[in-house]
Amino acid sequence: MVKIKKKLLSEISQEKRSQEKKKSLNPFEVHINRDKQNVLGRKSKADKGLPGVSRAKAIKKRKDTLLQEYKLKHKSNLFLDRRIGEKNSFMNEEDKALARFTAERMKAHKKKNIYNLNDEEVLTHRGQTLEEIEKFDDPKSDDEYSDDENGSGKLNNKFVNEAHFGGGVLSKSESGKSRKDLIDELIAESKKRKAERQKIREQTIDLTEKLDSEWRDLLPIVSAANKNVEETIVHAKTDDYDIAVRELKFEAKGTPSDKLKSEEEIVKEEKEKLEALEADRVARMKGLINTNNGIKHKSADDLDDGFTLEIINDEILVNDDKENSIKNAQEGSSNEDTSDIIDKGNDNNSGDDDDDNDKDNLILNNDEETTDKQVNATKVNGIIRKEKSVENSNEEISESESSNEDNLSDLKEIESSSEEENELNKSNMTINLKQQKIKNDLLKRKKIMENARKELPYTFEVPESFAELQEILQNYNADCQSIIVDRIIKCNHWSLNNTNKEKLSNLFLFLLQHINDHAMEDDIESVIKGFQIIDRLCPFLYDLAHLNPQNASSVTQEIIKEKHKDFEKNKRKYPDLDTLVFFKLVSLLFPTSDFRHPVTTPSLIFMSQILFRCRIKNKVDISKGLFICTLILEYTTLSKRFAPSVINFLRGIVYISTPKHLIQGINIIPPFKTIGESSNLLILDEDQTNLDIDPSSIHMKASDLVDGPLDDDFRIRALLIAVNLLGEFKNHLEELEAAYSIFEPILKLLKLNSFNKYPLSVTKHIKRLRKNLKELKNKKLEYIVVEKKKPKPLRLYEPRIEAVYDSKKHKPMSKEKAEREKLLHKYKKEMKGAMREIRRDRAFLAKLQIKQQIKNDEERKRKVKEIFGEAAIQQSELKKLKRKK
Amino acid sequence: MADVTNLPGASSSQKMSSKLLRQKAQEFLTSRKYANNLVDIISQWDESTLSCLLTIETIFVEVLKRGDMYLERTISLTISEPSPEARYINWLRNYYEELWEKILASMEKYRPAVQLQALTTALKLMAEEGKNPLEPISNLGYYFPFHRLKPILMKLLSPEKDNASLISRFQEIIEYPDALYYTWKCLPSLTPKRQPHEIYIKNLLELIHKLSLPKEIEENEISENKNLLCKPEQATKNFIWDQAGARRALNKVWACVMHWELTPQLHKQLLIVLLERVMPHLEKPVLLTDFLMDSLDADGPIGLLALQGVFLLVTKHNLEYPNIFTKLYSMFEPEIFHTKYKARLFYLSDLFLSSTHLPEALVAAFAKRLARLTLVAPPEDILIILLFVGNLLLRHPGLKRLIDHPQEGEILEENNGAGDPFLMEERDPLLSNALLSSLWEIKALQCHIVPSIASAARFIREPLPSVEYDMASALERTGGHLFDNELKNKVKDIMLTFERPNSMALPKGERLLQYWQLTTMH
Repeated sequence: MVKIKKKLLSEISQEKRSQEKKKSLNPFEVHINRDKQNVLGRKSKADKGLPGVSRAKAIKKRKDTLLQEYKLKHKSNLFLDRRIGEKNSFMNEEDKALARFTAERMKAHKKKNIYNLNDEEVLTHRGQTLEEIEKFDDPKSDDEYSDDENGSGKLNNKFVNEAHFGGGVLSKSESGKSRKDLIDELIAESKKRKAERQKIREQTIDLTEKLDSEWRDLLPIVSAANKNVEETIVHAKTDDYDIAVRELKFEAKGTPSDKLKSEEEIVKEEKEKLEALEADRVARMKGLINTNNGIKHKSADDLDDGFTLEIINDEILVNDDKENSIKNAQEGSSNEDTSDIIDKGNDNNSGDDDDDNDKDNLILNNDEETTDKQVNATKVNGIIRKEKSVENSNEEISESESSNEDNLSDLKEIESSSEEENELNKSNMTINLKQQKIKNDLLKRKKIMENARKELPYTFEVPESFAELQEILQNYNADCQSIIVDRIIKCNHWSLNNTNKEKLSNLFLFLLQHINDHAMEDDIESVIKGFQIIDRLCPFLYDLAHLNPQNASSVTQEIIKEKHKDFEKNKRKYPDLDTLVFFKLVSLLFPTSDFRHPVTTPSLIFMSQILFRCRIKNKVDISKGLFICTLILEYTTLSKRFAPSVINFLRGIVYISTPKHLIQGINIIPPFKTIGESSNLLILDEDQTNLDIDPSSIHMKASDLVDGPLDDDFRIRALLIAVNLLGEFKNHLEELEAAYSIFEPILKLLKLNSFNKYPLSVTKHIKRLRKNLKELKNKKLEYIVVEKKKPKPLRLYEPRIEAVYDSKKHKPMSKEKAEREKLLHKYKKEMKGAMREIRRDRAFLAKLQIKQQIKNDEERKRKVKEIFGEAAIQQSELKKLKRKK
Repeated sequence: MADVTNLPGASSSQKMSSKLLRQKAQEFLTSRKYANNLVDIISQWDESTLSCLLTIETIFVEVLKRGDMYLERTISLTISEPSPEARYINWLRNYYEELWEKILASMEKYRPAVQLQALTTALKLMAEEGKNPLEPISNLGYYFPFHRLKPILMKLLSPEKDNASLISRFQEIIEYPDALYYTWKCLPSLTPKRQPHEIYIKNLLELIHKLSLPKEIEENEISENKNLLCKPEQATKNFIWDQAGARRALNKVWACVMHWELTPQLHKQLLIVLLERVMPHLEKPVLLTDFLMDSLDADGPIGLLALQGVFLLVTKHNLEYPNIFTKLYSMFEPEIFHTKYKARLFYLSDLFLSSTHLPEALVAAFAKRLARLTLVAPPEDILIILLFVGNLLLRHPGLKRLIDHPQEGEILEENNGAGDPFLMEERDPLLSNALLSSLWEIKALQCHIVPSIASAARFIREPLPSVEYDMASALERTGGHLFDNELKNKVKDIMLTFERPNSMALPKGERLLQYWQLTTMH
């Protein structure tokens, strides 16, 4: 109880004290601004103030600043007291002195000359500079004196006792020496000790010096003994190579950057980048389609406030799963035939010379022998793995690495193949063959290129004009040309020089011109050469386009525009090959799947115009038409878009290959004609039943683009290509409800023709297409229904609660405007404040002046009075004198 | 007829001669003693027709202005020796008549340029003669050199050669109401009842096509038009436009024309002329019904034009023709996209189907058929059709079922198994089951290769607008427009492919090389 009371008392006293402190304000000085309306929870900043105090503060401040200035007004000289602490009233003399001393020291520390590094204050220890100590010339430790008591040079304990304190009655005074003797003795004693000490010290110094010198003599012998062998070898080895290596080693290296990425990381990054680009492409392909089409899942509680659940992108997860599953599958397969693997391992290991591996081998073999193959296969595998990982981790790592790589490549293969499977079920085989072929082709080409590389000069200037480029490329074949272009680009890489970028942009134009000039259809060789040139130059065009996309697109646009202009002049005629090749180039350089693209879209429109308008008169027209159809197919493979012109053209091709007596009454849409010679172009002359043709690997040839007589071979091929293309388009469009309507006329034509004269395989192939088209009819159609609009939710009249309420209404405005508004507000506030200050300054000065004036007047009055008084006294004295006279 | 001016060496001599001719003309005009210059000039006719024509023109325009050939027809009882003055005038007039014949003849022979010049000269002389008649005008009324106009027209309506360019030159004077009136007056006498030559018909139709007879309302304007071709200076009475007379003439001409046999080409031209010029002025247009009905059965543009005629009859003259929509329906074939008249067809069918009281099944059939046609149509036409179908859906709220079916889900398999219940082959729109179908074609167009079409086809997903789409501007668009518009679209960042090709083959989705072997021979 007592304790509690005490505590309470202490607390009370504390509170009291604090209250007293607070209450030191004079209550009469406090001014309280009363609120008209009291708002709960609002903190008002200006509910009370201390007008007197603040005024006094302001006046004091003015006195310190404005008044001083006023006093010095119109004065050119001024006296400043810069002594430290002179103006500070809180400092006493001592503090001032200390502060001044510190300042002095600080000044000394400041370097006078930044280049003189040694101009520092000399640090000492026991009176010696640190430098001296660090020399360790004379490392005399204190220990030397510690063992003998007199080391310090002081008198002996006993002696002191006796001499200083040994007096008195009780002490033995047998010595009977006089005081003087005693003192003499004392002096002698101490002198003697000093001399002794000196002597010892000198001795030790001598000894240590001697030791040092001896040690120095010994030193080379000791080190030589250690290094002797190595040194000779090293000396022998230092040759130019080593010097070079050293030089390289110590040369300045590049700035540190991120850590090197491992191969996996690089692959992963690459993959992610490609995935991002692909996603971007798909978005562009859809254009605006899916922005408001996607039927999102809605919960019943959806408030229609625009808030949507984020869809978690688990693509990566899926990928991981895939990877895992693949791994598992592989493991599974490996589990099934462990023996196989073990054998393999044996083979591998036997090749190695390591003892460890041999041991390993033994263990493995043992295991193999002892364990039941089929039952414990997995176990074995596990054990093997463990052991391996423990015993030769090196191998393991390399193996795992390779397996990882395998996995990745597998993945890729699987991905690509799955896509292709989706796209073309049937022609998989042909593609494989094709790939093989291309691979071979590439290899061959590589060889040729290697040869060509050796023959050509290594550096080229960027051609400034097309004529220059022509000059450079003139006498070479396509392979050499590609190498030349490669070297031009490499020698003048845009990172080397700023002007190169522009030059290379021009090069892009020149190359296109070059391609344009070589796309001739005079004879087969020139056609092939033209295509070869394109083939080889494509990668470089791609690079150049990426260098300056803006330029690339505008240049290509211009070319297409020009070609279109030429086409408009004669709308019924198929444009030349130099127009067609650009369509192919466009598909290589620009994404064809975009919903709208400044280059590809005009090209597509152009192509469909060609197919709609141009008359089909001869073999070349048919081939060009098919060429364009193939290109449109290529343009639309990803986006799966619908081109009526192509379907129309292919229908025409089927039509002109059908004998007219079979299809009387069926009309064909222009540009094809129902009657006339051109309507029978592709009808076979002779029976070709015996011809052996593989319909899925059939090709149109470069020679088809050159004018010539129509033969049955061409006719069959043209029809087959048309049929193949139709198959592809059918795959693209089969999802549409109108698919059957699109292909119905073609189906009709195919139905009526029995293709008697065609080879059996071809007939079968066509029949397959017919069947496929027929199946479209059985598709279930669903009525079009306009997407139901989401019902408007009821308005909920709830109070709108703001997270942070600051009583101000914020108008919604743009960022810049808000910023400006803020600045204006601040300016206004500041302006007001400044005006007020100036006003008060003037008042202060005016007050001062009037005070001065009053003071002066009073003085004057006083002086006048004084003078008058004096004068009166004088007068009275004068009068007195007169009276006296 | 070796035209001297065409020979390379003759150009200098021709220049010389033209200079000489001009000089001679000047001399002729200054004094009568050079009167024989005229004979010289005429003698040059065959060598340099063009310059001769020009010289003659200047001479006689001046002569007519001066009134040098004016002859008072005094009835003199005494047969006296004609005075030298009168003899000169007679001589001059004889030459004038001779020259007229030559001029008219040169409208047939010689080069086109000469022909044109001859026509111009003839017209100028005619106009001058109208202003300054050769003989005193009998009734002081309006005088028009009718006897000059008729031979000119006869030459224009030659049965031997196509005079399109001359007729278009002749058109210049048609703007004068008097010339127009007298041309019409002249025409009935020039139109034979029997079957004339094809070229004659063509020329006639061409001419009539140029002769625009004003409508009743404009009649007053015309008569007040003081701008006349031949405005005689001394005539007190002005030219009066006689609408009834002109119409009568037109009807007369047309009555003859209708009996002629026509080639398809002429048939088309006739229909155009009929629709654009003649129809509003005919007294009994209903008489045309048979002719139009026959024309309706023809394919292509003839049928279409006839249909327009029938439509006029139906709307303005109370003709009843219930099959008109069937006829129109049958006109929508894929071939129309390659004819010149497709814009007219769309315009007309928009007009035909503008009534909101048509049966829904009919309009639905039209909508569906049009949609079906988009599957083979060129892009620019697809845009028109989309607007058209949109308008049809707007006018007939019942057609909403085509894009928003009341019963969702799959199509019932009552009629012709699976697939679209719409019958494209059915000729009768009412039997085509269009209402049972949906506009899947337009949905398919949403993935058309041309982005503007793809976005235009999305209208079926959104609520229809309250105002009809404007088709007029779309009708004039061509494929070139689409192409240019796409090029005009400026995009800030250009997208590029992101996979570097190693050869011509695309890294992904290559098709061209799958079907084509381009870089090697075999």
